[in-house]
Amino acid sequence: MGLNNSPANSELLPGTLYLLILRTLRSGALHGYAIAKRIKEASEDDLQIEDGSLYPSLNRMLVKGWLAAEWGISENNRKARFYRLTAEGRRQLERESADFDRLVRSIQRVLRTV
Amino acid sequence: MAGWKEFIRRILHFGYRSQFDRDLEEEVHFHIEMRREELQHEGMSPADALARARREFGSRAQMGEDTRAAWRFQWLEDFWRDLVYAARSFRASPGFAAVAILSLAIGVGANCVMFSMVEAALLRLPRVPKPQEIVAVVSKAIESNSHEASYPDYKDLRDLTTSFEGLTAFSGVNVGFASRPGMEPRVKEGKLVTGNFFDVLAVGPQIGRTFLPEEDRVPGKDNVVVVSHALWEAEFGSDPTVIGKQVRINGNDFTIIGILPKRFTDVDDDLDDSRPDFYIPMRASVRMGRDADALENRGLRNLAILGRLRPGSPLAQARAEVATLGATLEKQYPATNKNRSMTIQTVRQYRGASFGNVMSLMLMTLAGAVLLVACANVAGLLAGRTPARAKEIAMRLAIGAGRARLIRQLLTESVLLAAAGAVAGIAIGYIPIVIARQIQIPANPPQSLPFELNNDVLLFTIGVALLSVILFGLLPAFHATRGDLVSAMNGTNALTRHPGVLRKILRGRNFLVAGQVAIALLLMTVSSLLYAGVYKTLAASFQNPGFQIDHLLAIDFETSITHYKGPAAARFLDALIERVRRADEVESATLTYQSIETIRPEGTVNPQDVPISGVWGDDAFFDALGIPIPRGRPFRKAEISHPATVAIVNEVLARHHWPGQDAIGKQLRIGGDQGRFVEVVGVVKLDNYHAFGVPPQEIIFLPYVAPSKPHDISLLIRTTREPFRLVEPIRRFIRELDPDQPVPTAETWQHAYGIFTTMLRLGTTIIGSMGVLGLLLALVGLYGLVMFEVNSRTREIGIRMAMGARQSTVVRMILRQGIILATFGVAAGVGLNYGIVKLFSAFFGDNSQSGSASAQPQAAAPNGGNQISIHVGTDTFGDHGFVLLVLAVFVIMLIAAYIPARRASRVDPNVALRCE
Repeated sequence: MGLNNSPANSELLPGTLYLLILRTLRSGALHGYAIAKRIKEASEDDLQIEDGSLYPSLNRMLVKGWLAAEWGISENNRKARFYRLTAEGRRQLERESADFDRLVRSIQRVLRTV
Repeated sequence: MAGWKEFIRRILHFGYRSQFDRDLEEEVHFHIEMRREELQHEGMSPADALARARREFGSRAQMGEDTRAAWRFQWLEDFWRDLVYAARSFRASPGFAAVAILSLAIGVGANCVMFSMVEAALLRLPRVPKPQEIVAVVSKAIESNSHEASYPDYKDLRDLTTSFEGLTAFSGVNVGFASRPGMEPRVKEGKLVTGNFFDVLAVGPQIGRTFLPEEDRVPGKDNVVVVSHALWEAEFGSDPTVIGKQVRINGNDFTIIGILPKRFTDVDDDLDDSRPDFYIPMRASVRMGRDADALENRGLRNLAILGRLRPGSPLAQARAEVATLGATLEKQYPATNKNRSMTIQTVRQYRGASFGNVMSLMLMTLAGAVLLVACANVAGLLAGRTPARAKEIAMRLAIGAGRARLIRQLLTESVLLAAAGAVAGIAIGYIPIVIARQIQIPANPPQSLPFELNNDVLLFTIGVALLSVILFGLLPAFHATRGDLVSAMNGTNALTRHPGVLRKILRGRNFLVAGQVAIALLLMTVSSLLYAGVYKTLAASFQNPGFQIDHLLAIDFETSITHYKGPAAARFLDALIERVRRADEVESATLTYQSIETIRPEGTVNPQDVPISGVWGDDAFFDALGIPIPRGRPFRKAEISHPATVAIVNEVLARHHWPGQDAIGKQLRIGGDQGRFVEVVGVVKLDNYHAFGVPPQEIIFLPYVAPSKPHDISLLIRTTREPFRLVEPIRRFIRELDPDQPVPTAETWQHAYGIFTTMLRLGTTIIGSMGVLGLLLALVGLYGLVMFEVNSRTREIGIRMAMGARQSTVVRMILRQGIILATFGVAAGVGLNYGIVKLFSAFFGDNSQSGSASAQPQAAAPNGGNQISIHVGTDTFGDHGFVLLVLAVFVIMLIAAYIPARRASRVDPNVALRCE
């Protein structure tokens, strides 16, 4: 789905949003806003996701059973919905990481040799 | 696997939807608030921060939509939307919808009805647990058609094989059955079974019990009987206290031990078989008139054998085991088992190719053809709507709808049509099924044809409807979603722009309609062929049986019900016929029976023993039956009741063995090498004796003498008035002579023929309707096509007329298309037709010439054998008739083309030009 392209510009390869979310949640449950913020911070602002595209993806991952959601209290005492990885989600994370690595390496190989 | 969980999650979400919207709202609100706070911390003003946060978030509406979409059953919603859309568009063009649905209803309905017949005749498995495990063991010999085995063979099978969980043997038997001792016995049909019959079939009684193992051990000891549900209802009024009561069977008292459930309908051979009324243990057969040692006689073969395979035992293995045993027995008992092999047949194979089955299959093929025509029709109609929708489709393709999505939508329309057609078809089909069920076969008790609209039939019909979707929906859907976007959106007719495309598309549709015409023609011809062939067979047998069948009453004394045996029986019958001859309204009466005799004619080139039909009758025989004797004389009284010295033959026999000569005075040897010589004293003109639809056979008539072995004997009576008036008096005579003799059913041969003709008339009506239906459908198809033509060329017509073309020119132009189509269709139909005629002749036997003596003797069954051949040849229909048919079709096609052509010519040029 859509992206806000900042000057330093990185378009997400399609389908990698799932991977990013899964990775972000690896160390614990977060609410939606925190997920978005974490991704932006970790990529040093290179990756800007349009926040609106986050929630459809999160819900799709809920349907697929990779995430589970619960209402909780945020750090500033507000009611927020927290998402966490399920066991299936962890397995999916490993699968997708491996796939992604393979893809990147093969592209790099092509770029080096051609 | 994962799919199921997703499915469940979505289902669970469904009830939660409105709450979910609120939650999402709250979540988004939280998100934006957090960002706003962050921005405020960085120094923005609250208002600016809020605006910025909102902007960064993006379109909330879009996000809301997408989020909700994640939880939906997308395909379900699409499907529903497509259905509603399709329904609306059909409502907008009701004419199209009506014709399409009606065509489909006819096609589907025809298949529904036909399949119910096929199902009843061929496919229905016995109503017992795990019916696929039930098989029949048949014992075959080279020179006979029967499948039956003897009791010792059965015992060996039972004891020496391992593939079966159980094997049972049975035979049918007719008896005199009195529901209470002292009541007048009536003839009923039942089965003698081995004690494990119900165990093998795994059928339990509704009330009471079935046989115990020890009840089939000692001959004549255990007089117990299990009664069918139908008999229980008819004779005992469903009284549950009948268990333990006595009935009298052939003069012996039997105790009722159980009643079978209604659903159990035995493992019938065939559609025509009647259902047994009762079951008695095999060892009680000695009381049924069978020989005491019948069960020890390995050469006496009258048992059918059924077995239940051991679960896990493959059929091939069992078959091999049985075959090996058969070979072993052949070696061990060469006297009785020479040339005998044993094998296994499934219940369906066992049912075999009887007349009813062959007929069913043929009807099924016809129904398939009707379906094809109907589908072609609807496909044509659908394709005809394409130009009108081209713009709409082009637009949707342009804004990004996937082609697959559009095809799905179009297919949904087809599914809606097929569903409506299926419902209508089943409704339409139900009527003939109900009607067919009402037809009573006048047996005793009267039976109805077991056609049902059961689950199998329904499933099949739905399957046919789905198949039709593929047949008529797929191609138009693909075709419609191709397309030249630009010109479609411009409104110009893409077809006239690209004449190559035009020709290509029209060729597709042409093929459809030409194909329809061809198949319709074929249907008509096949039905006419069958109709003519069957009718001719009927006419031959019925109108000209060689004797007079009106006012003829027949009473069959079968050995199993005859109280007396041997000489006592002969005396009884003689006394009876004397009494009958003296009665009122009796013109003449005769005793007769049939057998198979081997004859060796003297003075022929190749004296050989030929088995043929033998009919034994007394001196009144030819008179009673009204058979004229153009040459020679009937039997004299002195010749009756003595070993035969004379004989009377039919022309078929005379022509065969002494062609060109006078048969009178010729000698024949009867009964092989040790037989007697008889002299021919008369020749009659009789092709068949009491047999239906078979080619002419050789028959020899011999003077009546009481048969040395028990034999079924018929008393034939020619009455002066209504034959059934004599039934009561005759019953009285029999009672007077012997109160314990059960009275057999009296039948008129007219009646027997009547049954046959009813069945055949039913068949031919159906065949005829199929043909007519097919033709009607093709007509509709042609009409539709020409209408499409006209519609798509409206603009062109308008221009031409505005430029001065006359009406007649326009008509000619349109008509030309129709003529070409009709010609192609008829030509294809004629070609197909010759192929089918050849096929039919090969299958049924071309019988354009009579006079070839057949070597198939009629089995000694008073009601005619089971082999029926239908005379079909090109000459039965006649080449003249066929030409007429072709011309008729052609003319009708032209008319169907002319009407829309005429309408086209009346188009107002202004309207045409304005029309898009």
